[in-house]
Amino acid sequence: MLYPSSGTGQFAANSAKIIRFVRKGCTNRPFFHIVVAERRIEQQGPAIEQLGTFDPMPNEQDEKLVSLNFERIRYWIGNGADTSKSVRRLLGLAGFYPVHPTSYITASKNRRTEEEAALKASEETKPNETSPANV
Amino acid sequence: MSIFRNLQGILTQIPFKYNAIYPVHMNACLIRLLSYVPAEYGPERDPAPLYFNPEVQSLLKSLTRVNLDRVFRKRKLGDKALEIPTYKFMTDEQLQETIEEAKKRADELLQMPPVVQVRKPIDRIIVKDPALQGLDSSRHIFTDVSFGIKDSDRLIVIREPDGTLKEADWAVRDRMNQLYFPKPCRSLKMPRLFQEEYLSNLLSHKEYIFVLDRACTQFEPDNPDYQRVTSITYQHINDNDDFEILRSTRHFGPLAFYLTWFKNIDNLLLELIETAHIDNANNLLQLYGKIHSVQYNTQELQSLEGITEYIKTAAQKKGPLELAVQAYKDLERQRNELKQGIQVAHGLA
Amino acid sequence: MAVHVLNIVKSLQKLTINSRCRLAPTLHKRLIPELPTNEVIFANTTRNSTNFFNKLPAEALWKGITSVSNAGKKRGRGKRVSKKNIKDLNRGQVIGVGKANIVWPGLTAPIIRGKELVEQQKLPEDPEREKKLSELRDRMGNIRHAKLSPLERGWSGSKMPGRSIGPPDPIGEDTFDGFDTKVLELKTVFNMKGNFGRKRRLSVFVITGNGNGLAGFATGKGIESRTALRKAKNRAGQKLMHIKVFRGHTVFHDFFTQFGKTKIFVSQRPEGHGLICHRAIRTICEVVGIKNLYAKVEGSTNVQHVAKAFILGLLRQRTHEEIAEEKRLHLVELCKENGYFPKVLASPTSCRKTNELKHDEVLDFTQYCLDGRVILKRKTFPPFYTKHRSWEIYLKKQEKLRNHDKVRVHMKAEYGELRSFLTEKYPEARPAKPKLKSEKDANEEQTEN
Repeated sequence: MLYPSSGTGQFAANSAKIIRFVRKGCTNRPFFHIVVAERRIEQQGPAIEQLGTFDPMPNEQDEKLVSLNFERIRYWIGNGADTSKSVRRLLGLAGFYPVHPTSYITASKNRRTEEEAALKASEETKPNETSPANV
Repeated sequence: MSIFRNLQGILTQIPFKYNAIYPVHMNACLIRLLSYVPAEYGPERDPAPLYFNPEVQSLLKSLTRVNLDRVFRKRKLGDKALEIPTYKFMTDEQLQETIEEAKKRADELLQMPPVVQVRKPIDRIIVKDPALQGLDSSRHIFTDVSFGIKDSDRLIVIREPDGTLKEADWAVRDRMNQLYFPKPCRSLKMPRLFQEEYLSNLLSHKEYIFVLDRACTQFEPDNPDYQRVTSITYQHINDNDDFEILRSTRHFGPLAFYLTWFKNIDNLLLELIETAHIDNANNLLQLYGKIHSVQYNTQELQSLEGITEYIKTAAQKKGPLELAVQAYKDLERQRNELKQGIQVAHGLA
Repeated sequence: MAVHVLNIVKSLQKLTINSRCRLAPTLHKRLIPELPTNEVIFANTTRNSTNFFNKLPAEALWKGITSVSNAGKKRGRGKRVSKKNIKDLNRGQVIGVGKANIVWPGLTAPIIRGKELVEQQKLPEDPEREKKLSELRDRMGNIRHAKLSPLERGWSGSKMPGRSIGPPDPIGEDTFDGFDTKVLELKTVFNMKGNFGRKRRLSVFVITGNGNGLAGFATGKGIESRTALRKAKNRAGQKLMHIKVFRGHTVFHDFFTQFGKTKIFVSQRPEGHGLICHRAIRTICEVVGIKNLYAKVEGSTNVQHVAKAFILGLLRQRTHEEIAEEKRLHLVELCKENGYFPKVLASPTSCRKTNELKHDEVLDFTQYCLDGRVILKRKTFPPFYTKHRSWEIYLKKQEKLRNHDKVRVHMKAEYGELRSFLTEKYPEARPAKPKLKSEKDANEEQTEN
């Protein structure tokens, strides 16, 4: 049975709900729907409602596109729905939530590795630059 | 981009001035090269309050000259097969009623595309967060897709790789709106027909209605590209005296408004006098007076007073206009003589 | 060693039925210097001198293959025997002429030429002989009918019905310019004569017209098809009728018409629709000058009845002026491509008022033209397989592919080939190009060499 990706609108009373990603797209081409679903239901199962999309692959202009239905997200959070960590990070970047601490951690880690790599590269190139002058 | 546009804005004022000095020479040059300098409704003065003024609208409408046969001409709708026509028996009253309904629909079809100022660039930074630098190499665009929000009011923000959160500029806004809320016949990228070389080819084939219709579907009216395309088209029409092609379409009003706004109505006025539409010529001068706050004696729609006044004071093509007025006067005199002659022959006078 | 080989050859020769095995002479040639006598080889003669091939004469053999006896036919034998499959392999062959091009004096050449004796000798092989033979054999068996050009073809290949036979012959100085005649039916008919018995004739039914509203139909009979066609054509030219065509392309209104048991529902269609109807009706329309129409034939589809019913219907059409006058109402056309602007087709001399309309009056134009008849339209049901589970699975699989063709078209418009902005980054992910035919052939040749 094919479930509508916009959601079925059906859920058990008092069930735990969560706003999370659902992987759509196909092999080697991820695409995510942001949905509110019952926590106990598997990822590809029927969602209650679709709240947005997230395209993790940068497009031609090097942009990652996110669409969010803030009105409904607010409604579901107000009704006690939880959010998954990745969704929380995205909402933090959007300025809807405070920026997630892990975002800062990853950013600083990335910066550090980048700096180290740059340092390494400059060290490697230095002797090469000097050697022809010596000869 | 904005600098370039400003530069263009400065440039636009030049050709018209040149026109005033060397009217014929400059026109010939423009036609040969097909290189028009687009003139847009710049930030100095907003045309919208004038354009949407009911009096101006009614003037533009009378200049359009509604001809129902042309409004409801046979159109190619892109269907695979034509629809089977329906036939109906109607009494006189029913027929009148359907014609009235059709007239209402004609009003809708002839609703003129808005003429507004070019939009101002957006550069509002919401927050700068350098601690987020290095999180991602590409920027994130967040679009609010909540139900019932207008495209112009939609919240679209960008998180840059350096951690800045800012509002999206117009190009991105247009792209996101078309991506998440697609409008029919509008493409994500600007179609090639609006590029200079293809556009000039289309214009030389006199596909004005096609170009203008397509521009209406593709762009918002405050888009600088829209104003560029329409202004080039209008200038082309003006230089080739192809006003008749646009009559009874929704684009005639904006054309007349554009020409009046940029004080370039001589060709249109000449055409109106030559085709003996003196009432329309007076309408045009009324419009001119409204926009540039000048007063011509145009109360009497059939009189030539206002026109001669305009020719004396403001016209750039004085010679041809005066000749046309003289020719009209001669024609009128001959017509009167003929009328009298006929009456005499019938023994009425 | 040689003796050993010989023994093997001997045993092989015993195994083969035909003693004149190819192996023998070659061996024989090589062995000659070693063997003083050649009796060892040729001593092994055929045991059985009579077999199937030399017991019967060629004619009997030939007959046995190519024909079936009457009794056999009754039992259903020889169903695959046809002249198509029979090939006379003797044709083109001459005694003494073979693959090896040898001059046989006395057989293929004179014994004495001039004063010299012609010697038996081998000439270089003729490469074209084989080709000629195979060509001759290919040509045998399949009798070809003269092929007509697609424009001249009738409803079914080179059969007469549907074919055009030109305008009727001129009468005195009156010529039928712009006319064309098409055959609708050609059949054999018999009648019994008192002293002669069954007499066979051909009956032809044709329609002639100028493609502009003038048409006539007639039958003609004759023993030969040509005379029958001529008679019918000229008779049709004498029976022309005027047929009204709306705007030069279709019928004035939908109508129902009947002749005998043949009932036809005809309906008007817009330009570009074409003739969707029985082939006889289509041919009539082509001749009359109707280009767009839909017609449904119910009941008998006897061609003469269909033609008569259709032409009767065409003649009974009423023009819009007549209808408007009869109804005393305006007749208005509403077209989608004109934005449903009311276009008055016909107006009566005096129009009725709205309150003068009767409550039970037929005001629907189609209903009025069909005399209150209603065309039965069957409800279309979804196809059976949509209920299957496999259909659901199929739909699920297709879900991923639903936009592929659009993307492909878009890419071609954008880049002129199947590529995207990611192609430069991932050059290995380029789609496999379908090979061109010429390239394929070139590759095959290379591998063969």
